[in-house]
Amino acid sequence: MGTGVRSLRTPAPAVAAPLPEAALDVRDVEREAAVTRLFASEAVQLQRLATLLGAGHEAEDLVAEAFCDLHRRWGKLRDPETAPAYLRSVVCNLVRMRLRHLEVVRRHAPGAPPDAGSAESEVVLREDQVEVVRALRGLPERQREALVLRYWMDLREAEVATAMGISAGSVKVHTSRGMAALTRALEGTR
Amino acid sequence: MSADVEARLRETLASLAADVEQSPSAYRRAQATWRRRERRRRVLLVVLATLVIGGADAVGLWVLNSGPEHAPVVFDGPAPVSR
Repeated sequence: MGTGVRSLRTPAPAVAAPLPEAALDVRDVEREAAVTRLFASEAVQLQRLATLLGAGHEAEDLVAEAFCDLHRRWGKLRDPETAPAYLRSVVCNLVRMRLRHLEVVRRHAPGAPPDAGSAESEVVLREDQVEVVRALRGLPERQREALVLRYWMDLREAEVATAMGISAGSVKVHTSRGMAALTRALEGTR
Repeated sequence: MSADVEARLRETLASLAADVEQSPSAYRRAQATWRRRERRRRVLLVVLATLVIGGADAVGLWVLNSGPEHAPVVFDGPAPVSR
């Protein structure tokens, strides 16, 4: 597993700041420490995931939003070990919402420029990689999500299903259709 | 062909992801946000609780105050005769 579900008992990272609020009770301190550890271990990977899914320059803000959500619902989490999976699913949802919002904005303002925040606009890629990126952008968002989670994060089907909030069967469908469409698009460019 | 596409996809996604870096202030900003929201949630909870309790008190006082001025509060029958 690429990023994997990491243990929450990893040592505290350098970013862990002392808690200034004396009023925080023990449970708050534990929650704060656990979220801080998770931030150190997962935030970069989640930001990359958000970027690959199309969040562009908002990727960092979306990840921060996901951690705020986790902080708020920490007490309702059935097992702290499921927190990375929860964060992944929140990030996927937030990116999906952002893409839909942009779609609505574009529909109402036809002259609006395309989103300049896409990852590939700033990265120097080889010609064949640019073709892959172009083909990926042409896929429906669910298929793109499934491919990124499966082939970049190396998640199992069940984990992809949890992140996307769909069944494992649907993940199979999205992945195979996405790969087929990608293959067709890449064959067309040759 | 599929294996080739899969390899190209993995390689491209890895190249794109490798370029993404986190800003040094990311943690500080996220932490400030979740602490601010937590504080706001608690303040809101306290205000709501105060409003509910205050409202209940006010209704109770109004009901007590709106009764007859000299009516007995608990016993309204004749006073027991002492022997």
